[in-house]
Amino acid sequence: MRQILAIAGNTIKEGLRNKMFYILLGVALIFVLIGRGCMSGSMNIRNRELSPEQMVSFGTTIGFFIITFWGLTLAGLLSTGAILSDIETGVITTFISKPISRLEYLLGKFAGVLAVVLLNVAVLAVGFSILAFLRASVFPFSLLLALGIFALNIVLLISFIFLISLVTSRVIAMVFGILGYVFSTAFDILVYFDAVREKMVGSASALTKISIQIIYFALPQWGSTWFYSSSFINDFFSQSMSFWPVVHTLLYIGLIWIVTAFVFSKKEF
Amino acid sequence: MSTIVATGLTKNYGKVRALVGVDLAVKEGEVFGFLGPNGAGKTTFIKIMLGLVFPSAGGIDVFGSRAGDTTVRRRIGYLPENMRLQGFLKGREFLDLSGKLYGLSREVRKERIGRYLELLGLKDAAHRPLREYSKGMLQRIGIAQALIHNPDMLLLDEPTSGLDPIGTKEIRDIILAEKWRGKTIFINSHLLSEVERTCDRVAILDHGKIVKVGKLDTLSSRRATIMVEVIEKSEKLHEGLKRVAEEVRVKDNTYIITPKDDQTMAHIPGIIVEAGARMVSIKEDRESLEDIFLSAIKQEGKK
Repeated sequence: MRQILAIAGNTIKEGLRNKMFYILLGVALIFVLIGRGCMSGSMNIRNRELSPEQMVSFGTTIGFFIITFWGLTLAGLLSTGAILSDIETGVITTFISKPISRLEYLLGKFAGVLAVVLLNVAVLAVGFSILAFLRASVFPFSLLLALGIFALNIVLLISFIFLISLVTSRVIAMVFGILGYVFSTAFDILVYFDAVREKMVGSASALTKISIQIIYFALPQWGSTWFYSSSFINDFFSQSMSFWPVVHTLLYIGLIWIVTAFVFSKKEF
Repeated sequence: MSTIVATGLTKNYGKVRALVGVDLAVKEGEVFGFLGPNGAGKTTFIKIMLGLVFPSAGGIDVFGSRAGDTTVRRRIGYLPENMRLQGFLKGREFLDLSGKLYGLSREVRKERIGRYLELLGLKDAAHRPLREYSKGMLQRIGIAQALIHNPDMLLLDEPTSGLDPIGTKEIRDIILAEKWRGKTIFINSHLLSEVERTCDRVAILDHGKIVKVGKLDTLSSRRATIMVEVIEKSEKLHEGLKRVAEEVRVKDNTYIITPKDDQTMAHIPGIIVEAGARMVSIKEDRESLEDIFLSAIKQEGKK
């Protein structure tokens, strides 16, 4: 355990000493302020003026989008280089030649990247919540709950990129991570929302529908987990929100870790 | 007792055979030099010992356990060739991280980090990031991280590579100090003069095969030439020397003697006295490690 914490601590240090990290944080803070701005003034949707509470809910939703996007971007950037740069530079031999198992090294790296990302998500979330409280005297606890569930997506993305980065290059790992996320989210929209599904594949053959279901369960459910978590702060996706994507994501994370640990144990440096 | 025992060790990288049936034993407390040209398989051998690379056949036992076990690695200090470090870390932080990975307590880490920074002349650079370190400083901090947990064995891959003469001497002194403390030291090197000065035994590796192994003074296939310089040559002395030598050549006032056996040297003073000659000097001219190395590689190439 001490070795895992040592590697994690070193990874956190690496993340926090990276200038790119602060540039991205600055950009995210600007967007959070924009989200807070959405709570100001008045707004009409379908000729109906939103109440202050609805304005807060709308602003919170914008804040949730920004924070989740920022969290995923940072997770992608940090996890792509976390192991690969150690392998490419040969630094990894300095670590794993010491009395630390390969799994401990991986877990340490993972914990470090996750800690940096969650720390930033937490800073943004708390900052946004305080701004929201000052605007409407309502503390958006639902945002924190939604982000807590959304953290599973971050865990899954980091794990997924770790696995890809063990068998390919840095750029391909990043591209795979982004494509995987976007493709899975798009597919989840197709399957998760009754209205979309009916429109897209309503008249399709039974075989097509079964194939779509199989692909849906075979792919990571980033989109579904995101819809589920966002359902805590708004009713945009009110249709049949179930806890299932969370379970699916947890299982997926477990599966990816089993494969990652196996691939890493066979790798030579 | 042997610290390292390799048996039939073979490693293939695709079609490239990095190690071919290597059998080797390194004794406890020994300073062992592993020599070979670039690409001979030296680094692969060390990496297998650390579990960084897996053997294709055969294996290595270190301290009686299979190489690569974490229990084995706990007892080893490793200096990689061209040590690469994370530039954002400061010298002290890097040593602290190394200490943590070896499971040292905070108090022990603090004491050892101070000691090795001082010993290796890095005290003033302790709070500078490693990206600002020179090649020599990186090599020295690499040595410090290898020593920080007081290992039973040191694996040093090209320890003096890229160092200036002063840095080389400092590293050599550290290696010798660790030798006197009873540590087993395994040195990969192509710097023959360094190996000659520090190692008890050497093995010469070429194309993945061990072509020669033994103590430095027994590695040579020929006996040392004996050079006897006298003030004035004499026939009586020449005849006397011929009796105990395989061959005697004369150059100026020096007799160059190829010994007949191990006793030749012992007979020479008596022969000089008997001949009434006045001696200036007598010395043995051994085959240098470089000569041995080159001849071993050449012979292997002919096969």
